[in-house]
Amino acid sequence: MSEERTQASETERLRAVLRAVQRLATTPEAPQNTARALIDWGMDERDAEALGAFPRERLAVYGGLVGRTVLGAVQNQLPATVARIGGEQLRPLVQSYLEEEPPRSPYLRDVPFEFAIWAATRWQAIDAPPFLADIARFELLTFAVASVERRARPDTPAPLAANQGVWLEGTVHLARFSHAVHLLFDGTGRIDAPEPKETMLVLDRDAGDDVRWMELARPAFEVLTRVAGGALLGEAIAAAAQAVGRPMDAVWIDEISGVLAVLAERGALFGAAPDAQTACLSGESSPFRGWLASG
Amino acid sequence: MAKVVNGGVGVGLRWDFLDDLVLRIREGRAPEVPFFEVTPENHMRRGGALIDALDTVASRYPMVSHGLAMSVGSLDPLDSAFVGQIARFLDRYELPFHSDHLCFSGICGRKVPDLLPLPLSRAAARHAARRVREVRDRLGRPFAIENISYYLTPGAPEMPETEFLTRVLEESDAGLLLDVNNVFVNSQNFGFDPWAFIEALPLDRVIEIHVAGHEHVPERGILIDTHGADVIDPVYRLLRKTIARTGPVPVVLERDNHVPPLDDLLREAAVVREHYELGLADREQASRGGAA
Repeated sequence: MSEERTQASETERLRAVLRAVQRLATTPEAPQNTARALIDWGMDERDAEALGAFPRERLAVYGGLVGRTVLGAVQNQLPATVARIGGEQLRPLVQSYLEEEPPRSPYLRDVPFEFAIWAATRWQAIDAPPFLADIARFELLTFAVASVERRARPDTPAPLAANQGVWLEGTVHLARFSHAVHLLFDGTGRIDAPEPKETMLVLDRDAGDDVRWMELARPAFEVLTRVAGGALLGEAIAAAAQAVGRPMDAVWIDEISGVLAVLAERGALFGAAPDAQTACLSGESSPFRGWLASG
Repeated sequence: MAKVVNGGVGVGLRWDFLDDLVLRIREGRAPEVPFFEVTPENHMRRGGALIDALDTVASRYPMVSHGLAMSVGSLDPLDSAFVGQIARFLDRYELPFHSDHLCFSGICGRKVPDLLPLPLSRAAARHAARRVREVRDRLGRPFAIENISYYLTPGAPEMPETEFLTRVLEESDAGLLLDVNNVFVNSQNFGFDPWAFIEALPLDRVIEIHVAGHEHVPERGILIDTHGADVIDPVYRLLRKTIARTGPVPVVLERDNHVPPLDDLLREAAVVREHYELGLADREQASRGGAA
């Protein structure tokens, strides 16, 4: 056999070992009749026998370590969500996630996002309240806003213009919920369960780096969603009017201008964007921006 | 201007005491620590107070960089976005080298948040060496690999671990970040002499040393490298003997679980420093012809 073919064969053997170890690391218990199971997983017989010679509890060490790491990250970043379902339900849910859809991001802090996306269709199966998916998304939204990078700001802000984009601050995130979930987090403790209500929010960080949010009416939300995606301001205003069934009249323009002025006053909007790249809020520093916006 | 770290005992920078450290720096009460080790993954792709805090630490202390998620042994292609983010981080803080672990953390597009062991095979060594070179080239600076703690050896071994490590180091011309606690944990779990293991490594490649604590897990009958307890005497003895062989290199006290208040951690770092200096004294004595 040529050296090239030998190396290719050795690499395939290596691949099978790595896949088996990864599978052990995402499973709480090693399989019965381990060596046989490892062969079924694709391992070479010699490798399966060597690895299968370890006691099953030893083979389960990585599964336990990884399970605890992910559980800890979820508890840390989703405390309000976890408080509403309890550890007894959370642990098997995290374990199912690891077995069905192991993480894709190299950042541990991204794992709760991936978990929440996976769990969004599974909350009902554990009899969770209907607003739980919104709570989870809101918690992760505030986490993202708290840590996202700021963007460069213009030395001299240019006034907004219909034929230009809008330069938003990098911490700005827009999100729509089916419950008034933000009221759970306003620090008053006045509600335990958010009411079902279509809710649109803009979030950002203030000058002191504290996360804040403001509820938006649908017209403003429609405009801001479009300009955050890189649309020209004039086009965004026209498309938003059409989306909400409003005429493009002076009342409409005044309403939108008022919201943009408030955002500028808060420091969330710098002015006209010189190009499309500046206008578009990218996902590079906030990779779950799309899911955070609408679930 | 980069601050150079040639030796001494530093501490792994952790969230648990970052606020306290930053406050002390800003109030002119910065503790005497020769350097901190920073994990880029904790700070990359982030802004706001988190980066302000790191900037404050970087303005006062030299830093060395040590990552967790490069997954050098994986057969998946290197994650270009991730490597680019590491490179930008290293550039921003002018960090002269980067290190990560000789392990893999996922395959087939998945990323498992742990340091998973590689088989001790020719193919794994060849592949890891190639990847280490690739990482070094992409980062544009030296890259070192750390020996990991592990709880099983996957597959039929084709060589001893010391030979595996040496192959990867020499084929990639990389530096070795020697974790003496990892060697100790593995020696207890697999029944070998930890000093014989260290002596079999190319110690001229050691560019940094890690020390940490571990815990015994009775239900599994093994030691787990938790970084959640104080460093124990056998690990200190390994540190001293290693320093006597390598001479002055940066030594980092790592603590990731049950992280004590900063002052307690600095007291433990002072104990590490005593053993570090004893190792240097042994080296000096040996160079004068005495027994080390």
